[in-house]
Amino acid sequence: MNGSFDFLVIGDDEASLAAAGAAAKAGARIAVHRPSERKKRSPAATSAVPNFVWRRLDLQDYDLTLEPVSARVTLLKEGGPVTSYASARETADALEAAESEDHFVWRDFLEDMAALCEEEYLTNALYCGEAPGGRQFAALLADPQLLDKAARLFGPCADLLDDYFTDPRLKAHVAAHALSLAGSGPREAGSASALAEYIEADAWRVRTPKEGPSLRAVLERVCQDAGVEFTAEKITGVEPASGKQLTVTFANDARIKVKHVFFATPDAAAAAGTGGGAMNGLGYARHALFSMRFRLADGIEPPGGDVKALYEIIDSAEDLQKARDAAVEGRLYEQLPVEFEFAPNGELIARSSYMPAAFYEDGEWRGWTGQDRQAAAALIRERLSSRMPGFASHIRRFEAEVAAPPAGPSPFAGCDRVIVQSRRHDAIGAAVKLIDRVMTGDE
Amino acid sequence: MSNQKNPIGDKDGREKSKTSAHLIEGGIDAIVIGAGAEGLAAAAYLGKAGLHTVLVGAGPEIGGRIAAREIASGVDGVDGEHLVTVLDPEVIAELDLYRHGLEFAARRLDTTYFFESGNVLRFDGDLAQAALLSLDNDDDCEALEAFMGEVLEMSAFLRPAFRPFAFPAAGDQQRKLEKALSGAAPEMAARLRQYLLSSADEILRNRFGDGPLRALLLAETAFRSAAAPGEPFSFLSLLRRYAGEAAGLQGAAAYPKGGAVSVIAALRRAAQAAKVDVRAATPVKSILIEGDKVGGVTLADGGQLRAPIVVAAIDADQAYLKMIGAGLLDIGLQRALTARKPEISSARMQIVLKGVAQDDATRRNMMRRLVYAPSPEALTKAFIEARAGRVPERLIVEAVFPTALDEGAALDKRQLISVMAHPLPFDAEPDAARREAIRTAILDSIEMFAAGFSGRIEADDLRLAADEAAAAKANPAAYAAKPDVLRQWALSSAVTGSGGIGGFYFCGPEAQIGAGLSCASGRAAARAALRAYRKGAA
Repeated sequence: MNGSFDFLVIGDDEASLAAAGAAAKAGARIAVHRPSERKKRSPAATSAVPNFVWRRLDLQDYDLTLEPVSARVTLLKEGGPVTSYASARETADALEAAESEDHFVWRDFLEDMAALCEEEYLTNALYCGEAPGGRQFAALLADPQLLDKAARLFGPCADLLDDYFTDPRLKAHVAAHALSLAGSGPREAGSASALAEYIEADAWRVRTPKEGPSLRAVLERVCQDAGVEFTAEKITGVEPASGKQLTVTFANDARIKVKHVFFATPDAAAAAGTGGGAMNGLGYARHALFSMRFRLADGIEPPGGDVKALYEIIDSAEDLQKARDAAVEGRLYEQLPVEFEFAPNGELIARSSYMPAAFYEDGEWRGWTGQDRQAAAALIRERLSSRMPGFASHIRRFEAEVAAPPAGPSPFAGCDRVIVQSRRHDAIGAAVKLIDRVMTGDE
Repeated sequence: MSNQKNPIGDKDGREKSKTSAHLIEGGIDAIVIGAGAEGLAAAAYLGKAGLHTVLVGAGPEIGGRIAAREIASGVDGVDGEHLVTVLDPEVIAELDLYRHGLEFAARRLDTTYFFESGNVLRFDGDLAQAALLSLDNDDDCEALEAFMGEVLEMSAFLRPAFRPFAFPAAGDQQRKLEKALSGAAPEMAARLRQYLLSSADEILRNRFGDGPLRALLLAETAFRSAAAPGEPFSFLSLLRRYAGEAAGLQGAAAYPKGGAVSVIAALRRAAQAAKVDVRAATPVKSILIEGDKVGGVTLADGGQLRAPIVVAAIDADQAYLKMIGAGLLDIGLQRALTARKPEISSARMQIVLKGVAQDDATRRNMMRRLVYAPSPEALTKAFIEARAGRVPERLIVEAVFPTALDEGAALDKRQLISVMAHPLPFDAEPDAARREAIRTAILDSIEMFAAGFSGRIEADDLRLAADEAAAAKANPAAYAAKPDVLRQWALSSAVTGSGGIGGFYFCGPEAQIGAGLSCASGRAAARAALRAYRKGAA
């Protein structure tokens, strides 16, 4: 592969492919770098595909069916599961059935969160890399209402939840699902924005049924049809070229010029050793996403029996904050929050973002080792067993993966034309919007 | 409580209440509640403009949290601020504080930073020069100089945003701010976004890697702020801290002759020169609201003072919830007041040391500001611990020696060291065990850079946020560490919005952005009151 491109998109997850496809269809020259070896796997649920993305990519021309996750379920240490649904009405009914007084305010809560996200200035400033000029900034400071909104949106998620709900189990449920992606704690500044974003319709996760083609496969075809070039060669160097371009060299000595390097998820960026979000002592993101797949013998069922739901395991709401603190400090946390779901082929996929990106031991930072992986895998198995008795004896095979940075210096260090989308609930829509913005900015 | 050496009070250190019980007193133009620095400044401005102004303070002394107190036999310490870092230069000039006796014993204090690794860095007090006296690495020196240049430029640019909010006229304020901020060059706008939203840790790591400069600047950023260095918006704290410096004030840190009480004394003389009627020991029971306007105040003894302007320089809970009443406030203001959940605070400790410094190095250090900067990891952990209600192992410590800086305060064969430590858990009612744990943690952190220090302690005096609040009869939450700047902006704009009550102005601790003795919100409140008064008169 040679030549010059507008974007080098790194990663071949759904969000990256959607962004690449949308930009290519809009006329940009796009190269996608995908991992050299990808195992064929049953896909996990992804963020929803918003309508505008559907239209931009002409997905109706492809044989694609999507099925929403049936419910979001939290398995607390005590008491039955807490469940919410895509429909506000259904959720309110479920809460009422569980004798939670908070069913009265559920709808208000959804509406208020949506209103909180409306302020374009705020969301642009946070997600889309738009620099507020003096004028916008002054407008923010001068308007007490806007300022109040900003403080709430960028404040701790726990404060927002306290404003609405009294039921600690419901608060734990909402916080666990809203924060699980980013591995944030509910008392952490900025975590409220994850909450507001999680409530949006585009954040409701979907999966492709077992029979049809996966969303990833469809998006890959969209990209190919739009003229996107793919490569799997290892990137060996990234250097600034003349002014507004970067030169990217590959292991096979191929060399391309690109205007921007685009990461649709911070995990892809972390795996490539570059930033996005705060760092810890090794210069990595502070949280690592650790995921596991279990091939199970028949006969194990999730609590409640719904294999199409998305599950969170937490002991109590406080554990989210404690787990986040532990990750920042560089250690494993015993009562780890774990998210899990069943893939269409029956595999159980478990993951946790509350893993440290690096470990802090004896006054030194060090990267993940084989032992750490084993310890983390054992911890996740233990957490799953705590909610599904007999789980361990049903495991036939499992594999684990951590999105932690590789050893050695990153080829991306010191490049300023690298764009990293933060971890978002509506990752697909957000990635398309972000790449659009960067394109518009270039013109 | 009366203290012969108290430079603030009159001969007997207090003033008599002039209002008799159950009497209504009229003919007053403005009432200022609260006799702290902000209240004195506001009253002085109002009096200077020719308004008949009465200042009422609840306690027997003038000065609020800043007061002189004997902390060991024959040793007077000063509670409250131990260094003046953000005193508004406009206030000094407009109220003529130098003529009223304000004098600095030391300005632009050099700082010596001590690190966990045992490294020591000396930092010239003049930040704009950013001349490091002891950094052997030229690259670091250049990186720091470039960085400080950027920070000072950005601080100067953001200075209008760090000023206390100037009351209802949002349109006016926006136009003014816009005018100040719209001159931003494109690269400045890009940096603004980065600095606004990013965490201090992220920015400093990108600039300085793992070196001591990162630890140094992180400590300066996190000091007295409730925002941990890894959190969004935390970098703004550093910009705010240098905003005063950028305006060419007295310097990054200054020590007034006689300590912070002398600032109060000067403000008081300025108020008296402006013919302000200062009444100590006159607690206010409630603020009279008539229709949508303020009518005056009711005193605890049953008397009434009537005036069309009331300026509250007390904490927001007292002013709004106790004196006005929650029923009269709009929902936004009520929520702003109840939403505050302080978690972090700083502590002040004054220590009397036996003996005098033997070697030159120590003697030189005593003329400086000493800062112990824990490693970024230790600092992150400290914030997590403090927030969980535990006393952290390592603290940021800022220490000065009043007895060395101020000749007039020198002691015979003893030294007074004044220490501010951060971050600590916030307790509304700390018990004895908690006090002891905090005391030990502070002394341990000092031991990290001054080994053997504890052996020379003759007496020590620990002062927590709750103690200051008790002395000033205020809500302890008002003295907790300030939240991140974004939330300070929101809170400040909510409390100074005054809940739509005509003639009421607020300049309590919640109105101020950031920590430190500033007087800027007193000035802003008085100026807003004067504008409205003149408009009414015209």
